[in-house]
Amino acid sequence: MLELFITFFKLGLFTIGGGVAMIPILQNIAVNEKKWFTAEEALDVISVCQSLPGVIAINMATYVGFKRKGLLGSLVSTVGVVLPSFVVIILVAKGLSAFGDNPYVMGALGGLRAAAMGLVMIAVYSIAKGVIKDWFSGISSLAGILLIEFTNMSVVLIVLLFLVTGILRSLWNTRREGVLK
Amino acid sequence: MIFAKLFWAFFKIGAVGFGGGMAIVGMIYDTIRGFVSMTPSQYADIVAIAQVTPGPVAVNTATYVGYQTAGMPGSLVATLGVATPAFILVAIVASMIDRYKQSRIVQGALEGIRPATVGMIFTAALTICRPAVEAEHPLGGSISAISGILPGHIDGIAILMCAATVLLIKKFHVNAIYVLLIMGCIGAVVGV
Repeated sequence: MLELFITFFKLGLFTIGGGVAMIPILQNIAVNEKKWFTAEEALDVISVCQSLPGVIAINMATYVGFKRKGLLGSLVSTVGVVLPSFVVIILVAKGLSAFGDNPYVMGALGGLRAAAMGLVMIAVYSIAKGVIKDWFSGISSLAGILLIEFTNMSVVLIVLLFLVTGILRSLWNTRREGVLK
Repeated sequence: MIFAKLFWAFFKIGAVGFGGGMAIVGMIYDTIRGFVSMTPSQYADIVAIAQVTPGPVAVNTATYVGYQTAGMPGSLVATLGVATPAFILVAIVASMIDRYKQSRIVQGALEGIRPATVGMIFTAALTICRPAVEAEHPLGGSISAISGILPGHIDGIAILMCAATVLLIKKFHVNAIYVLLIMGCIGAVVGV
């Protein structure tokens, strides 16, 4: 349990710029280091968390915590991931925003943002690699990108569309197998 | 009572907030106008801070606004508010997926949303990359401008550091957290 807390505390502390930057770090810890999940399972965790409302960072913390140690685990991991940012923001709000003009701090933040950019690119690459295994997944991924970036369609609708398509496809495939047998 | 209002307002945001932090931030502004008197420019400052501090933008903004409204307890309440709906929903979904893992419907649904994830993460990635590249205070901005290779407002050093990050992590398998620390230090040195 403590391990869970510390892991997500670190993740919460080092995720800057966006929850997506957390993905490669979490993948590395959960799949490679601690062997909590297989790469495939991790992909599903990420997909589900991204598809549900709410902040992806919190979703992932809750999900992983739940799978590891049940309801209490999800509480521990969520508190862990939120705590560092909570503390920092309070410090900033209390007036340590004198920091804001310090050139070293601004520089360091710029460096962290650049690094986060790299992390985020790694995330996109690893997800794309994990998802795209045949022409169908390739085309649907492309379709997803186009729909999200270039239409005004609500993301909720897009996710539902993909969800339903997936279910229909799975049922259709099982039917086909049944007929072939 | 202000705490109940604060909690409920952020609970609603946390429950509906979709499409990444920045979409939520817009919703937060509409909501908080009822609590705090804040000009759009002040809000923009808060959001800027929320983006460069650890943690998701939405949560940070909630914490900050809660603090401005009702001090420490307010920040606690607002943060809890924005985190709770996700917590409940994810816990439910996680337990359901576990129990019905074998169901064709669940497997189909999981397989279905995977391609959608590519799109969503790609979009989220763009929102992170854009401000880092078109930085207001670019790292070594004068260097890249002087060299004449890139237009002055594009942060050449940031791009280099981004590339370095990817190399270090993927090729040399350096732990991501160490890379972040390194880049932070480099940034502090270069930025001055």
